[in-house]
Parts: sequence; C-alpha cells; structure tokens
Amino acid sequence: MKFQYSKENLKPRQARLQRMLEILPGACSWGVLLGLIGLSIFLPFIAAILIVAFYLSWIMRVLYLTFFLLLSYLQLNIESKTDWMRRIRGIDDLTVYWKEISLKKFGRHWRQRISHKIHLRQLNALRVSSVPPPKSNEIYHLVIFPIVKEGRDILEPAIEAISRQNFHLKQMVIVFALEERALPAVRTAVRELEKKFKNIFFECTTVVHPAVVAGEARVKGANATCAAKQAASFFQNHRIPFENVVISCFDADTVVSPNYFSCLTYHFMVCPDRQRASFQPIPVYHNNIWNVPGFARVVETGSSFYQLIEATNPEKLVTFSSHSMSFKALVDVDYWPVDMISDDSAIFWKAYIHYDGRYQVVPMYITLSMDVASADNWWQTAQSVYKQKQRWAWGVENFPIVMRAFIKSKKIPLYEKLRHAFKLFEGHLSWATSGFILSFIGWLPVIFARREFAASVVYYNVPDIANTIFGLGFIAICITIILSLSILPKTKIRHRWLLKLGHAFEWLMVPFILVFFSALPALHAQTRLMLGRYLEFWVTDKHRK
Amino acid sequence: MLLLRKIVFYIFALIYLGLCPLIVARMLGFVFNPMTLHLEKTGLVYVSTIPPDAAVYIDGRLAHQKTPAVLRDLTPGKHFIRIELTAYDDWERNIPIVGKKATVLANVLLIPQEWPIIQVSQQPYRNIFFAADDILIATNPVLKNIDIFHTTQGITENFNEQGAYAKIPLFSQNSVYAAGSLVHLYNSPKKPFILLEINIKDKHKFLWVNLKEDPPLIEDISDLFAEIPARIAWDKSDDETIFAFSTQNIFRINIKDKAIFPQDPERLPESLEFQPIRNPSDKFLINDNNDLLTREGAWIRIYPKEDFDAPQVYDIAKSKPSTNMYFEEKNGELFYLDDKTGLLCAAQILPYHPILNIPIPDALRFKILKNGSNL
Repeated sequence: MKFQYSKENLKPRQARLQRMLEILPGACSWGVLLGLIGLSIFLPFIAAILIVAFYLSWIMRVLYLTFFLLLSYLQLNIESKTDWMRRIRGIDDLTVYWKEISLKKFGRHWRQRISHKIHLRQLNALRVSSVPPPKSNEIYHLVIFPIVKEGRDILEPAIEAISRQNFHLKQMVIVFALEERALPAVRTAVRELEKKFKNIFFECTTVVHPAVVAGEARVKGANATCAAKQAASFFQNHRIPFENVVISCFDADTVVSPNYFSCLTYHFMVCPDRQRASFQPIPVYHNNIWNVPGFARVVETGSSFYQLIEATNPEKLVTFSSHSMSFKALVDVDYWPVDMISDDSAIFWKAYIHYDGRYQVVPMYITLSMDVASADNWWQTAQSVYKQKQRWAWGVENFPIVMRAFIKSKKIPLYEKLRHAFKLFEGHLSWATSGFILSFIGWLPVIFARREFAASVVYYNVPDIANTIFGLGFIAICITIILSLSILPKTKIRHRWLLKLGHAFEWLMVPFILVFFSALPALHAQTRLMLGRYLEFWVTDKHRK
Repeated sequence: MLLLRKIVFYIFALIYLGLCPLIVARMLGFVFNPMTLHLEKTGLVYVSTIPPDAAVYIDGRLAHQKTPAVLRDLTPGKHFIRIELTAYDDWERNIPIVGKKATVLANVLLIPQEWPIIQVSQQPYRNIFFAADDILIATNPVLKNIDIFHTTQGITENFNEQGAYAKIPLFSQNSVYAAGSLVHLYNSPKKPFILLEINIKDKHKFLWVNLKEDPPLIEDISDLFAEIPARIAWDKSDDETIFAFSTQNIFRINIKDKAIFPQDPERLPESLEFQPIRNPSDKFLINDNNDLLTREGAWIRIYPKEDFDAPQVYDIAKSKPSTNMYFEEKNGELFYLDDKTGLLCAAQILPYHPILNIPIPDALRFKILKNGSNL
C-alpha cells in the first residue's frame, strides 16, 4: 500500500485524525491514573476491585513473561556454541546437506540436540518454500554507523569487532554516516578509521549528511537514509542485486560478537520470505556495564531481558535499536523516515504497511553489545538514562501513523490490524501507568479510606492480597537476578563475587526504577505527544572508562 | 516457541479469568460454602492489643495469628472472642459480626494481674504539678523539700545506681530560701515557668522560677506585686508576661523588664490561660482515646470506652484525695501521690517503647543532679 509514513504535509482531514490519535495514548494514560486516584478518593470500593484485578493481571503477566524469559535465555545459551559458518556452507548445497544432517544424530549434549532440531525445522521450512537462498558468497552485508558526536574511543571497538567476524570480510561494506555538523575531532577520527579499515572490508567509506535538507528533521533516520542511498548507488555500480544485500544499521557503540554476521547470514538464508524481513538480535549493554551506577545497570539489563522475552513472540516482534534487514525492503519502502526519532521501530511499521502486513521480524538468538547511557556523575547519568528512556518511549509517535495506515488499508487482515493496534496501544498504556499503579496508586484506597471503607472487609483484605501478589512477584525478581548474574560480562577485578553480590542487591531498586526510569519517561513522552510538543532527537551520552 | 507461547498465554488467560472473580469475591468478604454450594457473606475482626503478641480465641478456636491479628471468614452474628496473655487478665467479649464489614478492636488494653507500680520518692509531698517539657513538680510546705522530676523516660531508666529516682531539689540546702514555706504555686501546664508565693522569716515573697534553665533560675519579683493576687493568668503568646488578678485590680507584669502595668479589664488578651481553680486534673483519655483513666474518690480507675454492652472497670491504685495526678503520654506512666504515705508513685499503664534505648553514661545521668545542688 502506498502510504506517507509521516505526520507532515497531511491533508486537513488526515491531519485532524493524526492529531486526535496523537492525543489518544497520553489522554488514556492520564485518564487511567487520574481516574484511579479519583476512584480511590470517592469510590474506594470500585478502586480497590480494579486495583486487585490489575495486580492479578500484572502478576500473571510477570510470571508468564518470566517463563518465556527463561526459555529465551535457554535458547540464547543453546545457540551460543552454534557453528553458523558450517551451516551456511551446508545451505549453499541444500539438497546434499539436508540428506546428510536429517539422517545424522547430532550431538550428545541436550543443547546440541535442541539446536539441531530447530535447525532442521528451519531447513525444512526453506525446502518447502521452494525459494532458494542466494549462495553465501553472493550475500553482502552493508553496515551503517550513524555518527554525530561519538569519538574514536566509541567507534573503533565497534569496527574492530566487525573486522574479527568469521564471515567473509570482503563481502562487507562499512559506511560511516557522518553528520556535517559533527565536530572536527569526530570527523578526523572517522577519516582515520576509514583509512585504517579501508583494505580490510570490501569497502569502508564515509558519507557526510548535509546539516540542512528540506523536509528532514535532525534525526538519525535522515542521516542513515542519506548513507543508504549512497550505498545503493555503490551496489548498483558493482552490479550487486539489492536482493543479496543485508543492511545493518548500528548505533556507533554497537560491538558485535564474532559470529554475528554468520548468524545473520544464516537467518537471512533460511528465511523463506527473506526480502520482507528484519532480523532482530538481542541487544545487551555490556560495553561499560560495570562502570555505571547500579540503577543504570539494572535498567539496561531489564531492557535486554525485555528483548529476550519479545524474541519468543515473532508474530508481534518489532525492530528495536541496532538490527538488520533486507536492503531490497529498505529501498522498496524508501528508506527510514527522515522526520521521526524512533527510526528503529518506524522502519518496521513502514515496511509492514508497505507490504500490506506481509512483513516479519525474525528473532536471532545472538547478542550485540552497546553502551549504557552514562555521564560524569551519578545525577547526570540518571538524567541521561531518563532521556534515553523517554526517547524510546517516544516510539508512541508511531501509533497515530500506524492507525491511520490501518484505517486506510484494505489488504491487511482485520485480525492482524486489531492484534497489532492492541499491542501497540496497550504496550504504551501499561508502560506509562503500571509503575505508578504498582508503587503508589494501588495503596491510595487504603490511605484515603474514610470511615465507611475503613470499616469494611475490603480495607483489610486489599493489603493482604497485594502482599501475596508482590510476594509472588519476588519469585520473578529472584529468577531475573540469577539470569542477570549469568548474562553479565566477567570483570577482571579481584573480588568478583562481591561485585555480583552487590548487583543482586541492586535489583531491589526495581520499584524505584519502575517509576522513575520507566513509567515517568513514558508518561512524559506521551504527554508531550498529546500536547503537540514534539521531542527533538537527543544523542545519548556514552562514556567509557 | 510461538505455539508454546500461544498455549501458555491461553492457559494464563483462563487462570486469570477464573481466579480474578474468586479473588475479588474473597476480597469483598464472600466465601464459598461447600455445604450449601453458595457464596456466603462474611465479616472479619481486627484485633490489636496493648501489649501485643496475645493469643486470640474465636468461638473457642485458637487463631493462627497473635495480636495484631485479622480474623477472617466469620459468619454474621455474635462471636465469642477471648484474648490471653501471660500475667494479664483474659479479655472476653461477645462481638457482633456483620457481613462485608470489619469489626475493629484496636489497641485493646490488657489489664495486668498486678499493676506495675513503683515508688518514685522517699519523702511524702503535699501535691504534684505539671509544667511543660516533662517537668513534674512535687511540692512540700518546706521549700527545700520541693523537688523536680523529669517524666518522659521510662520509670526504670530514671533510677540511679542507689535505686533512687532521679530528682532535682528546686532549692538546695544552702539556698537563702531553703527554710521558707510554700504558700501557693501558680503554674501553667504548657509553660516551663512557675510562680511561687512563699513566706520566709515572716516576709511574703513572690519567686519566679524558670524551669528551662539548668539549674532552674529563681528570681525574687516581690516588688512587682503591689498586692497579693487572687489568681494568676498566663499569656499563651508571651512567656514573659503574666496577669495578676486581685479583688480590685488587674496588673500586667512583664518579668523580663521587671515592669508592672495596670490592665484595662475590657482589653484583656484573648490568649490568657488561667490556672484551674479546682485542680486536680483527674480525667485522661489514654490509649488513642480508647480508654478513660479517671479517679473516683481515692480510687484511680480505667474504663474501656468500647464495652460491647458489658461495661467493665478496673482499679489501679488509691491516691491522696484532692491532689493532682498526671498521665505522661510519652511513656504511658501515671504519676500520683499514694493515699496512705503521700509518696510519689508511678504506675506503668501503657507499655513504654523507647525509640532508641541508648545506655546513658552515669557521668551524664547525674550531671543534672549535681548542678541542681548549686542552689
């Protein structure tokens, strides 16, 4: 479907609809919060019933998500030893490979057996689809690094990590998407890196994005789009079909594991509808995780776990942060939005709408590591983390545009529209409200209790039920702590166990984090959208010690 | 994984849909009765006691929790509750339970089988008065026998190594006023100042005592009294000003400036506080207003306010008639003069829970006493 994925230059009727839909999430979040506060004061019985129903749904959701977090973590663990290159070479000669491995009993360890079973299922789907993948030596990877203020200390480890890939480096094109407004020191660093890595990859080049372009906002998507367009010309000149190119748009601090591109190539090859797919790895924030305050560590580990959980539900998975996708799809949908901040999720919705719902995100059980937002001191780090979360929550800007597209689209099945619309809306609503309800609104009926309510059975039963539910929630926290301790990178300090013990206790800050680094920035973002005070792109502070 | 996720989702959704109405019903006080196969309305009782950790029996069955306890799932009607705690009398009542309602028995005061009463003084007193900031003044006709006690610490904490309650004599043996006799003591319960009318060597004198100072600061302000007042009033808004009412005149006396002014009776400040003519104070609502501590004749007694149609009264001790008694809310102690001996006694009515029980070094503990002897 042809659809203008933007809030700009709309016809009056569409502009009015867009505005109404912009108001909706914020209005609903405020409605829920103020409504519950009002009910707690004036109709505490009703408030107590709603709050207990909410608590129960929350604990069910927490236990449900914890179960899938465990499964997802298990799969990440299983695939950590997979030889992706061996699999890729096998797919290059699929018929022989299939015969070879379908008969063979693979591995003695249960992990190997599970990994093998998943592999067989994926190969079978590929065989059934009768859409043969390109040969692995014909697949090219385009990696774009949008840069505005990241220095060499951030960029170099990212490029070096790519240079250590076990995939063929001569099939990789690296593009530094440099903003014209970047400081001279940043430009020099980029030029030096370009020179250093020029001969290692098929190509390593810099594309400078002009400071002012009509119709563009100062957003990452505009910079990446400019670089991707240049790359498109490059591939055309080298007669490389876009169908054989996979693009990865990485934040400048993204450090990939040596298997990343072989894993990506594998998933690209086994995905029958590979030209209509994005590939989502698990983002972890390990680059500087031990150098940031405890709350920031917990916040970002929580974000990684959220992505791990999301990976188990490909039907509803939306691209997030650094990810990869078919270059053909990117060109087809006319690249990233150039006037939106949430380019990572917007590109999924843009493609989903363009292909009338026939677009998917393929989860990859491989991590890529980024920096935790950090600054010189505790307070500035807190501000940085808050702003970053607000920017993530600004993904709510997709809601009105997606809804307009859903209203217009005749080809996307109604069920799919409802499913996605509900997830998008409910996701943002609960993001902005859950933390507040759990941490203090839930207690208001008891606090504001008047004589009549204070003399009721409900008054005494609500705290009791809440305590039981929160007690169950503690089980989920304990599981999260164990997973967190096992997923965090090792450090070279002397008393490592002490550090880990300290980190376990840091999880006790969850109620505080839920409010100040989750619900509050989300509500802030929704309120800004509701009031038409659009967020400007803000580059997260990232420091390494 | 996707299929598993869907299956688990529907299982959780079903559990939620089944569980949510049940939990909400339970929260509202409805309990499923397997005999009648119906949901039945129930009520609950909340019991907290002073002191806590008492065993609760409802209709003869021991509850799982000790006090404070919430006893749930009680059918509407009367239920017999008994509360037991070692060394305390059993507390027994028939409590009415109403469906969906909570019956609250908050801070039920358990009566000890023997009241913990401690003799505070070694000498008898004529009366006791309370001044602000935990100061209790025990009076005696002879000035050197007037003592000051601080009441906010627990009884045991105020005893020194010799087993005597820490006290400060208002006048030391060497004081020029030591041999004088007390005619009248004027005080305000909210001010740390007292006015003493005394006789010394056949002279009538007025002494202003500032109890905030350590040792108390005593000033002779007899010159400020042209005539003996019938009553003294204190200005709530001004610590240094008192009003002396005599049969004919009213005088405003500024203690700090040592000045006396005739006062127009029509223009008296509204913030005047009179010393009650008919002391003693003998009624205290204690224990968060749950119980009435009072005196009937010589007997000091407690009446629980919530009696559930079975009024109860508990005797504590007999006090000297027409003297003050004082209940210190901060530590739950009642100070009174013993009926027979006139000695100052303290009964622990409510438990005392110091916020921080830091042992006070003896050097600090008796500093006040030593300084007091300078008078």
